[in-house]
Amino acid sequence: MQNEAAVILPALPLLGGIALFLIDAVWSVGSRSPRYALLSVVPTALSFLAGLLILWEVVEKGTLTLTLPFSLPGISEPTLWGVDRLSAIMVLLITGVSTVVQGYSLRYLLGEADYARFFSLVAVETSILVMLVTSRNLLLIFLFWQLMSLGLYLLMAYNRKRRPSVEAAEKTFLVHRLGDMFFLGGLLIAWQSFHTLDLDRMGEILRETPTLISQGTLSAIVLCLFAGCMAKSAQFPFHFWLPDTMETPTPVSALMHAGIVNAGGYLMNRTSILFAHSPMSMHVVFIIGFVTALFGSSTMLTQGDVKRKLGFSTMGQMGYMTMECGLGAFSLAVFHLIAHGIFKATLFLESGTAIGIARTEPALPRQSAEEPGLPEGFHLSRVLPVALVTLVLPLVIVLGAHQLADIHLSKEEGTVVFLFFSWVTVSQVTISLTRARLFDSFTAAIPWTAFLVLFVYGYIGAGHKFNLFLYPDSSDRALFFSSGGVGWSMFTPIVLLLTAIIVGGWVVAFFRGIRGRQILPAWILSRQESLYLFFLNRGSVEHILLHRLIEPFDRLLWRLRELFDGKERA
Amino acid sequence: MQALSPEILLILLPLLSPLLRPLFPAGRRKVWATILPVAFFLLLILLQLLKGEGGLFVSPLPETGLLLTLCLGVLLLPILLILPERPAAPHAGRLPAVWLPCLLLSAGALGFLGSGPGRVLGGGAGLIFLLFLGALVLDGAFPGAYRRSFLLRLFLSGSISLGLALRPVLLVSLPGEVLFLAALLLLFPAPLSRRTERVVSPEFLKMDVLFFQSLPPLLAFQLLRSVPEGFPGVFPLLGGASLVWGLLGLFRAKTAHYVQEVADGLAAAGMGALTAGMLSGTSQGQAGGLFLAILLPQAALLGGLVLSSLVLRYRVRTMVGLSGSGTMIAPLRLAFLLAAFQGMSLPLVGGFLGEWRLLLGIWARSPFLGAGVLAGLFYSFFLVLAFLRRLFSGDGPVLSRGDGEIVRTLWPGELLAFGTGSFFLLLTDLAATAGHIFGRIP
Repeated sequence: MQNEAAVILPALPLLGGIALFLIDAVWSVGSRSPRYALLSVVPTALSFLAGLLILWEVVEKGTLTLTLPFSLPGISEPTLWGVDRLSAIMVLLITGVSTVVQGYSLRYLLGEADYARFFSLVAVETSILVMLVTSRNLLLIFLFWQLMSLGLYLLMAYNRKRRPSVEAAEKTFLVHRLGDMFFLGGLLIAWQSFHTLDLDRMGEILRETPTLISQGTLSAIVLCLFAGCMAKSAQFPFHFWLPDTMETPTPVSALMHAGIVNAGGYLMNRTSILFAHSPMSMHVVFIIGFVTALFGSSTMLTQGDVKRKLGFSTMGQMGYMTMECGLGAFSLAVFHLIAHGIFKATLFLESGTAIGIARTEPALPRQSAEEPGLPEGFHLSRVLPVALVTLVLPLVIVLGAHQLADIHLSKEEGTVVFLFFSWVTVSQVTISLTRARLFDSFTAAIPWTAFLVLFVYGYIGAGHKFNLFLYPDSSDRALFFSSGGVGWSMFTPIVLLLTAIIVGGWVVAFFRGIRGRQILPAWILSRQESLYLFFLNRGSVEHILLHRLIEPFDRLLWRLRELFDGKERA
Repeated sequence: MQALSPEILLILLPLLSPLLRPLFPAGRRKVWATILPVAFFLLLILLQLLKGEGGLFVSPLPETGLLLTLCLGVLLLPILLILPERPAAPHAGRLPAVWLPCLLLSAGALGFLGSGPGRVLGGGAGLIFLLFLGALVLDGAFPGAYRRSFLLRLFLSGSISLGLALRPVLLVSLPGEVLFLAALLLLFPAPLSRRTERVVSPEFLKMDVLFFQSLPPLLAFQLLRSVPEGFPGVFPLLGGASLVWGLLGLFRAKTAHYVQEVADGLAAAGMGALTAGMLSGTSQGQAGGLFLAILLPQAALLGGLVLSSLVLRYRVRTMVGLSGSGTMIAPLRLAFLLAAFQGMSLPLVGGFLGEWRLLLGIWARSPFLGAGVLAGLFYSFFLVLAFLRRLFSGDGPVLSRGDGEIVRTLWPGELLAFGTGSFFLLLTDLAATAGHIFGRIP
């Protein structure tokens, strides 16, 4: 359905940003007053409100499309631009987070030298992101994908006198550009194979004649696109730009961690039909996501800086999101990135206040008065009840929630990972409640358990409904899960292994945290320090790249130059 | 061959500039006398381009030729304004008379004659070289120490262009093709030339930019534009050689000491991609080649003008010496950023569409070489980003006493250069595709 009114979604922030930029260029309003910044904040907020109306219209009437007045090779199809359910949800997330970040920055950045420029850049970047998520053609997506990198670079380096920010911006731009090259390679192969870059048309071709494109070619396309996603979403080994971005002002960090890093997850969803037709690529995606999640979360534990911790936490969450895509649970990845975006933006925006309070309040950070240990009356003989409450009860709750939401774990293998995640999370919560003695009293335990059940059922139910909302076609959902699946012969051992790991982890945690006893073997304990250093140094990926690849290559170039040009050296 | 109408003589219109100029006293009227004929000429070309076949000229003229002419003319205009302002030059009065006709006739010839097929094409390119050769000999400002090597290269390049008329004879065998390629690569801004401390003279820099960064891409495009489908037979060999030559340019830029070395290296890299695209013999490769042929001179000229004004102001010509200079003057900052983003092939500043079409063409013939272009694109991005960092970091060079006067006399021309350069960088990406100038959709 045609609806030109949807153009206001990207147009409002773009016009606001340009107007503010021009006013600042002519009259140098600078940091004189926050009221000029409203020129970008208000249009972005209006875009968010318009996004709500558009979402309503999309749900009621279907995808809104718009043709562009020009055409290029690869983007000659009529439906270049449009808003479907996925786009509408992403537009709300982007404009919502951008509005909050800009509103927060009105006072947070007041007095900064390039105050007005910051707001105009955020507004323009918001517009670019909206155009990215509403493009329905791979070449157009790539175009905005690049503009997003440029906008992010300008945003991160907007205060060029701050050297660490500028260096971080350059590193980010460089890594993103490397990903762009893979993305571009993927587009070239796709054009050679499909003779179109229109995503709807590509989907039709794959559905009608799945064997038209060979698995090798399709895997090459998908893996190239995925490499582009890896760079944007800080997947291992392209992750090293993300922690350095902490040098930028807090609002920029919030915008980046809540919105821009999600671009990879969005692209995987937008091109899910391509991914789903290449099972091999799905497994690669899963493995990369798994490594990233493990690496990011482990590194987070070793960092001393609050914002760095949050940065690596983002990396871990992005890895988890990628894992979900690799398992065919594409909608869960979107659900995850929305939830993560909102809570991570909150954490970043609060981190500045928290650090400020900690600096001025002598009682902070509080030292724990006593060692965490066994609550009074807790004995080894009570392992079974503790295990029942903290390990088995969460599993029952989570399984029950899946059953109630009519999620068939046998058909949707990818969902099982979500189950394990929920299990671990709920188990952690119940352990905390147990240690807080909330389960000691029957009257306290009942409401807490009820709340827990309600929460888990609500979360899983919402996730399932979101899946149906985003991918209403059941054949698509079945295709995603079957492509991400590995077959029962392999799936069962994996489930058993994961269960063993979780139970084993619980046992170690129980003995170490509650009993104060170390039960891990000595050869593991002896490697703790080196493992700690490995994660503390972020896996030394950057070091290896610099000293093993770039520097030797530079030396070779200089040697060649000297051979040709004599010994003179700049 | 397309029949050209008598209106083609309109390309002589800019010659009114040097004729009218001496008739007016120094000052604003002299400037107007210089600008107006050229501006009128450019306006006519623009109108023709917009109206298409039913436009000003009776016979249809190739759109590519019109676009090239417009591009070159607009780009050269600022140089025309700046060159006569050379302070205390011994031959200052002779310069407009020499340069104006040469530059504008070259622009016209390149656009119109070069748009025709076969011998007309070769003749057009040869004419350009002869004109420049004449200008070079006549212009006393060109440093004598470098004249010999430049003359040699120009002579070789001119021989190639004139020898194009004999191309069917040359290209019947593999040795013939290889010889042709070797001669063609001589056009590149010397990726392997020895490091020289080039003369500290903004005029020299402008001429250098014109000769070795702006014109070679246009000439390479003109030389290769009639490459037929599937020509030459050994594309991986010839296209690969061009790309390797371009990569050598990038490596040279990485280890550059002088600013002009960087410019040479980047222009050579762009030409490597352009040549490979044109040699691919595909319509996409050739359309991408045209994009690059227009964009490379723009970026080079824009950067060259900025650098020449910096050299004038600060008397520095090394990369280290220019540290921080990008932060000093607002228009320079904008110009640097525009030229850098163009060098990075970012969208909206001219690089994206050319890059896409060129890659489509090369990839269709050889995915291996296509991957090589992708690697080169990333490496050039890395280099440009590093140069940008250098230009925007540091305290900047110190202004010498008395240079304020020069700055005052130069800024209108520079502003015009930034404006025109920026205009075209934007135009080529946003507007030029509307008229199918760069080939129809496959």
